[in-house]
Amino acid sequence: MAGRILRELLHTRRTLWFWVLFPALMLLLFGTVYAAKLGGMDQSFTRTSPGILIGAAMFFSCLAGPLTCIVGERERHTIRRLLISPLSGTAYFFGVLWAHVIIAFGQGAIIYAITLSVGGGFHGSLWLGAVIIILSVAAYAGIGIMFGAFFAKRTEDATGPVAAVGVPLLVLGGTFFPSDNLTPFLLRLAQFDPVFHMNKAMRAVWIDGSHLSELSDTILLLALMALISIALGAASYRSMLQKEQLG
Amino acid sequence: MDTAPIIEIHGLRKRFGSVEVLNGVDVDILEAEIFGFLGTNGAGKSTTINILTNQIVPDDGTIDIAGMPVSDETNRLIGLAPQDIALYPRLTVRENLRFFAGIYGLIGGARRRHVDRILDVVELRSESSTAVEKLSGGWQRRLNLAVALVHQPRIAILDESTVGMDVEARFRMWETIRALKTDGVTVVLTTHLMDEAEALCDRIGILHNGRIAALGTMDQLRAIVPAVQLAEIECSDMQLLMRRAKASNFLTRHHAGRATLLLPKQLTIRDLIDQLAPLDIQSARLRDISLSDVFLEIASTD
Repeated sequence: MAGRILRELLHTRRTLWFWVLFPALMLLLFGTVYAAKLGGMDQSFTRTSPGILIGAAMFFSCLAGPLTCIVGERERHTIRRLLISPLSGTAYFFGVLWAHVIIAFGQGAIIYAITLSVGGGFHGSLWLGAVIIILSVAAYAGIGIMFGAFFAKRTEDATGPVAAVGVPLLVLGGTFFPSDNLTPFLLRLAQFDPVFHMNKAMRAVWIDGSHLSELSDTILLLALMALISIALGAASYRSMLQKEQLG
Repeated sequence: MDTAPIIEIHGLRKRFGSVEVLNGVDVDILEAEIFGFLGTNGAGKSTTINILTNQIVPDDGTIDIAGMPVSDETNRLIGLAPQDIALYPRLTVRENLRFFAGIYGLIGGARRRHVDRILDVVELRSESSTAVEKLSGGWQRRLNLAVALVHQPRIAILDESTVGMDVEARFRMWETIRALKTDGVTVVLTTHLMDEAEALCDRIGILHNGRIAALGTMDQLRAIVPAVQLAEIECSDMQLLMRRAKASNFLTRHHAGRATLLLPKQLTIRDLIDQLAPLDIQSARLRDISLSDVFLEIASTD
């Protein structure tokens, strides 16, 4: 399943380029904007990279990707074949998840390379960074599958839920500016935003070099969110299959 | 026929709300035969296929496939070519086949052999590196069938699989379907094209009002129409024609503005015109009983 999704992406070079171009441009833009305030390009790129990776890059690839994947199965009628095949819903879900983990690592590598090229760096454990990426992708993918199963009948419907729900979550999650700028009320509200915790964890590792022991609560919370999201995604997928069977 | 049934359907009933779609369907489908399911829209063909493939549960009745009740396990014996093209358009022909072979557990050399074999069966080897979205509709239909067959199922369910194909492509598809039977695959075919069912099917089951209204070989089905030959007549006074036909003991059928006489014995045109005289006959044509006639005969019994 993962191989099929990645092959389709390779054949659709335009989408692939957009997923590379978008985070790269966002990083260049925000890195340059904050350069004067943060004391140079190296500091600025290092500090903006985690948010750009979690928010701008992975949000659109790993939430919108699974969403369009599910909608695409319905649109192309391949769901009919999958329904009678031995492929289980769980195998399907983890195939989608694995494909998007690979995409997220690719995007992470691009952002890391750009940051390195201006003298910035990654100060924490790469393994811990990878764990945060995997948990974040799981959370995004579950939500994406849920939206795909319930709210989008066609691929063009996908942009609606992503824009309406996703972009406010990104802003509230501190993707584009530090969370210090949020009012106390918004900061309390942000505690319920998964993106806020993903950004917080990735910033702590990337910028401050925090260890697992310092981040255990946040990592546990991310794992919990990922589990809830996977459960919601799997339940939505099963519900969609039942509807397709009756339809 | 002395072959054993591979699909045994008994007393199948299914109701959706107040609509009884299947009302006691009974039919056995034999191993390595081409069986045609015919019926008007809403006759219950799709519902039967959905129950066969374990997509919906019947209210009553049983289906056994190769001696086992319908389950996810029996689905492994089935290859379904749905009516809609169900492929990944951006992947190549080979990549589509590889993916679907993979989800049936085929990997490595076995998968390559299966994919190569099916590319030859459906004559798509020359297009194996072409993206599906660049194939013509006819080629896409062939691949739609190939994907259903890539795991070498014992039963191929082809749901309107030639719809939208040009004549030449249809004939090529027919050859492929006949070759499946030669290889021992049982083919269950649904189609609206009567000539296709006549040309391909060993036996045909006509679903009507939720039941199998007629079942048998083409010869057995022809016997449902009470005639040995049909005459299509165009005449300036159709009412007079009907009276003359009745007087000559010919049964008549009227469909889409044309009168058809059911002849109890072989006649020549001259004999027929003589029997109907005096009438201003504009055209007269004798023909054999077709599946369409059987279909209309069954529909007219409502």
